[in-house]
Amino acid sequence: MTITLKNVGLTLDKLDILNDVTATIADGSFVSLIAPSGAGKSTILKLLTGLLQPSMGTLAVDGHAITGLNTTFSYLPQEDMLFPWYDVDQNITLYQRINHQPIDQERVTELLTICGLLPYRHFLPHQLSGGMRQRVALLRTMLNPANYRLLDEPFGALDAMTRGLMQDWLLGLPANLKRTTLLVTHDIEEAIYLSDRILVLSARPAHVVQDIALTPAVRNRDWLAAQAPLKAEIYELLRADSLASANPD
Amino acid sequence: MKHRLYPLGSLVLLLGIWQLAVTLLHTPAFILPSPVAVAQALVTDGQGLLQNSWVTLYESLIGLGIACLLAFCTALVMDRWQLLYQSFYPLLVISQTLPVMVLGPLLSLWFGFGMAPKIILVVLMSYFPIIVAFSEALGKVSLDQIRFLQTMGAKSWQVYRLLKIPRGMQGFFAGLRIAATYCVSGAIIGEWLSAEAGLGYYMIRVKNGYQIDKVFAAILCVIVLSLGLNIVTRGFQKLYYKIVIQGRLS
Repeated sequence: MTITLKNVGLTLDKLDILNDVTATIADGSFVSLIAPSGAGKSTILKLLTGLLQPSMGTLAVDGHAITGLNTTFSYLPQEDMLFPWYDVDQNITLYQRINHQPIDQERVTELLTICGLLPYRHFLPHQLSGGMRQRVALLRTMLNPANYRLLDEPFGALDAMTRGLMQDWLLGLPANLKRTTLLVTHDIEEAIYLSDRILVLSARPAHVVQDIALTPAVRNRDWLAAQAPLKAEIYELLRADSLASANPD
Repeated sequence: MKHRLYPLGSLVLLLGIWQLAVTLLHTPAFILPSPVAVAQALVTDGQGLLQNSWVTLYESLIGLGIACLLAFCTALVMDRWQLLYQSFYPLLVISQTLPVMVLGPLLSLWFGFGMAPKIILVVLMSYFPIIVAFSEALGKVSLDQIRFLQTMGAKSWQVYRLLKIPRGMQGFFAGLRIAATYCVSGAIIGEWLSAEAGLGYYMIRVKNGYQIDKVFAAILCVIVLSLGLNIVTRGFQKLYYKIVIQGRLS
């Protein structure tokens, strides 16, 4: 049960976006992709979902090559993609309604309770705050039974306080809701706080420059505060790479 | 509430000026009747106006209904098969340079003097604003949202049912509101050319008898019908989102 990227390269409009990206994401792990802005982090998720095709290399899930648009992943794009004419209940069960699967109302109620959304289940998206909308989008991703989750900067548009609360909420989810997750983020702290592994990508054309494993006994804000040297190390890595990319001579 | 009183106040003021001008200038009633005379005509010939209004409304509603159905289906087909869109949409736009009323005599020749030519005129006048607004709204649906649905396994028809149609219906209803105003004019034009009943027929008949107050009374009925259809259309839009989209009433 792994996601494999082998020598993946992508060129769009004569622009090299990815170059020789190789990585293996193990079953059950939470891996963050972090890179300078515009380096092609989101592109990797689009390649996995089949929205884009690689120019070279291969992507595979459990040994099966990804050849086009597929439903292997539960994908949360940068925008929350909530449908404004559907209420919270209808938005979070979109997968079930598309695939004509029965909706387990008990489970839906349980998840809405965990996410603090139960009183708002019949609200339309425009009636919710930014943080609530993001939780609805995440809940929709979680109700998708796929074994793999792809989260593209899910908290990018939130203020610092809401962002922190959402990170705590995601980290505190019960074990049965956790899946193999690939998170794209530009926030180094967020990557450290949430991940078992961080893949640091270079500036465009992106490739993996560092693979950092994180195995804390206890993961909390105090532990995160103690990771300042690691944060500085990653920051320096990204900065040096961005500068090198901007001034190739 | 205030913003509703302002146009009402303006209307009362304009009617007052009109009444005053007609009274002071002693304008003959066959040139310009006073608002009071128009109101009297409305009351005295209420029965006739009501009967003819019903005929015009009936033609308008049938024509508008057919135009809605045609525009809805053709816009969807053109959106699904872009070759059809590229082949026919420019022709549709060019066809609008032709004033529909010039087709009236031809329609009478082909379809006789009954309701058919009037309904066809209504369809021709109502179809274009709906299909243009709906087609453009369908075309503007974000590709990212479509792809997102496809990553959840949505088939082409589900993309339409869950995303494109609900999104596009905003455009559809915008076009429908315009068409609801046009459709009464379409029926009136048809009745001017050949009819035995309807507000257009009534207007020609009373005009020939120099009963201009009744012409104005008929115009008032046309305004009421157009406004009424516009309001009903807005009501339909609200109902659509509550019942069809959200699948609930509250």
